Amino acid sequence: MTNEVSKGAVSQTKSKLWVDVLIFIGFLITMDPHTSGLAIHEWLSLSMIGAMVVHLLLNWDWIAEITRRFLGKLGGQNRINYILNWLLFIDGTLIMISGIMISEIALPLMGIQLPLGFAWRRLHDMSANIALLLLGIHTALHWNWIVNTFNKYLIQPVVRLFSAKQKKDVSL
Amino acid sequence: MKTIFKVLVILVVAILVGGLFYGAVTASSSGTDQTAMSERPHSEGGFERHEGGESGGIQFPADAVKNLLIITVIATLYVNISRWIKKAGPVSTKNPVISS
Repeated sequence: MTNEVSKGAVSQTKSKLWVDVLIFIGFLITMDPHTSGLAIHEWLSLSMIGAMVVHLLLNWDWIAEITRRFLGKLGGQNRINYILNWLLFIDGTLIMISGIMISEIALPLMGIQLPLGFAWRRLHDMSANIALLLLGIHTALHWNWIVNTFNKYLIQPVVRLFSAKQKKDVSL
Repeated sequence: MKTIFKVLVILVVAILVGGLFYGAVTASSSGTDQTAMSERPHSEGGFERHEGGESGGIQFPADAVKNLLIITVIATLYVNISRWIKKAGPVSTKNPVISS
């Protein structure tokens, strides 16, 4: 039973790692529409909604626990983390809604025509810049987790693979 | 079933937040600056929008590198400053950190 629980925890941590890596790469690509092009920028951004939902689902227990304890006793770092995550969520929603309002490819292709408000363009640029700042702090707050998980699930297996190969070569 | 409920909660909260922004923006803008889709200029504001790879070659992702650098600088600054504050100030063990 304990073994099953720990196996489940390992696979969830791995899922979290890969979803986060994909979101991070997706974020970098969508933040550079000059290189990727507007079509990739818009479609990738829309698909990021799904990735963000998965990210939130994978961290649901933490969100529920901190929401319950927010007004009671809670460590300073958890409180900062929780507030920052809300800011990221609000900012992400603003990026999405302003992006939808100024969409030139994805929405017209779906047959949706929206009037252009110049405020949405300014809001889209501003919220994207804020997201960059928030993502930097979000990364910093999870730095230990990122380093440990990368080390455990990416660097160590590669090192073990090479050392096993070396041992095999020596024994031959 | 639980997962569907969680997804619904996330989407409802996002719709509420988005609705608030939509209401605020449409209320603050007079409506005179709104242009129909067909009348849109190709680029307005400071952001030149164009399709990538039009020239045929692979472009250097300068903005992506710049953004990665900004995130790295912010994260490094935050990590180092918080470590410095922890070293300088008293350590509290009353409310342990719950890892996410």
